[in-house]
Amino acid sequence: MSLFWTFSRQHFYKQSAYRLNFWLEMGGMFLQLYVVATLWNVLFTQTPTGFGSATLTQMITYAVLGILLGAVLSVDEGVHSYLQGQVRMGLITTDLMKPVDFLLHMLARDFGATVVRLSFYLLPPLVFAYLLFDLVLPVDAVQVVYFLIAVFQAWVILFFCNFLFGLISFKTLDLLGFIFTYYALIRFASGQIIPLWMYPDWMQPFLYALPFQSIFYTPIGLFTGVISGGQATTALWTQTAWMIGLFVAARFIWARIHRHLVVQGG
Amino acid sequence: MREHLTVYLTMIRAAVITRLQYRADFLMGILGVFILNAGTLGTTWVLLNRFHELNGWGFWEIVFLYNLWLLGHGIRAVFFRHVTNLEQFILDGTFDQLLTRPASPLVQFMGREIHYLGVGDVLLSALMIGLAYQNLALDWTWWMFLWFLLVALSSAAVELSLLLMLSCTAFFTTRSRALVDAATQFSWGVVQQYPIDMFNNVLRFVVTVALPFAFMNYYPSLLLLGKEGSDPFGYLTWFTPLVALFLLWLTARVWNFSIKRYQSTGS
Repeated sequence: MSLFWTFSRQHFYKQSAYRLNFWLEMGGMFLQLYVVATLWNVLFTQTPTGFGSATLTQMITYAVLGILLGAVLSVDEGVHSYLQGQVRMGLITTDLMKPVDFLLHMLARDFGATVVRLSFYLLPPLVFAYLLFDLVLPVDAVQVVYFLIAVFQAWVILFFCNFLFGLISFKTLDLLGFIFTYYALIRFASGQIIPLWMYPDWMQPFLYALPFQSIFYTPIGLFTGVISGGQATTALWTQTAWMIGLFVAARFIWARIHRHLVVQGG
Repeated sequence: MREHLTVYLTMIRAAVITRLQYRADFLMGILGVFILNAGTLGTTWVLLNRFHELNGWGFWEIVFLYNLWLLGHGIRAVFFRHVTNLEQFILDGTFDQLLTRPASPLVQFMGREIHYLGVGDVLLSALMIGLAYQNLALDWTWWMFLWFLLVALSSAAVELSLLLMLSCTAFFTTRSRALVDAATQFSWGVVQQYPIDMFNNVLRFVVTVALPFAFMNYYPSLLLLGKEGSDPFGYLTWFTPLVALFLLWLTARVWNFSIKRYQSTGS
């Protein structure tokens, strides 16, 4: 466990080193918040029935969380960009030589970065957004606990997705081209921006069958109360199933790649 | 002027030859651009499929808006993608090379690279604008097509000017990336995807006057889509080329002002 906190401390120092960048990024996030809140306001005024059973406040809360969680559970930067960088520079050998299990080591690195992003990009802006917009908050402790579990599991799922995606760079040495596809897929299929029930009916079964909805739709849905009752526990168990499934896949594929890995002198 | 052009064309020729070495990268990159934009347009499609319109704009009108931006951006990106890397040129001393040569540093810097990802943007946006033209049953007269070409070039010029002006801060601080990234959020995060008439006056002011990215697509679209009557500021649609020219002139001034005060990082 101490391995996990060591990485958090390192990332904390890194993050606090660039203060101007932090404030500009924060400004950018609030611009996005304003834009999406306006979008839902306009659509609600125009077609009040378009949200189905959700209220305007629920939708605004959904949008706010979608953007904040998007900054924490990052698709841009993660284990895949790390792997690509290490593979290209030939530095991956130093990671392989460490006396820690490779997958665990990567998980610990990512944990550190995520905890730091969580404390910078989720909590303070959420408080601030609460003052600016009318938001719904979880009504009881159970909902809060569910949300926290969902965020944790979402992080693990995203980590394994990123890891599996990053393994491509062991084969091709580069992710450019693939990365656009990956972004587009997660953006479209995770429900980060548009809640899944707003997608056309024929599309929904496909979206629910993919792991990406577990990353954003589940935690946001639980927080806003869009997913509740029996659906809530099903959603959490679905996440757990994906976690285990992706873990097994990651182990298996990594073991195969590791066995055939040839590193040129870096 | 003639001399500047010769220098520029020579540099572009060198840049093209450099790029042609990586063909697989080229195809992969273009494919990536198509998929990335399909993802964003797909999200818009899901919304509009449910709500039918956004503040009076239908799906194909938004497609037109989005792709007019992408066309201008693509043209800019092919030739001037590297302008936002000015900070890197300054930091590693590459910029000082340009200063020692007997040709204008601005012309040399502009002709330094070309980039293929922009080609994907141009192809995709031309295709999508064509589709939007059909689906909206537009019927432009011949001069409207000429106007459209002028608008596309203006759109590229607007983006180029704004980015280069913002990047010029690197001459003073050696850091401009964060500022450019923050400012371009108003471009791809606001202007590209949404008709700005849905926002409040503060944001409209920002994207019309302070960082006039709205002249890349929103204002010119009003005339091209026959919507100039729907916006109280609709007459601004006619000013697109003038705004572009003015911004180019201003950029040249800012560049000259900055370069006179530039001190090398010495690395």
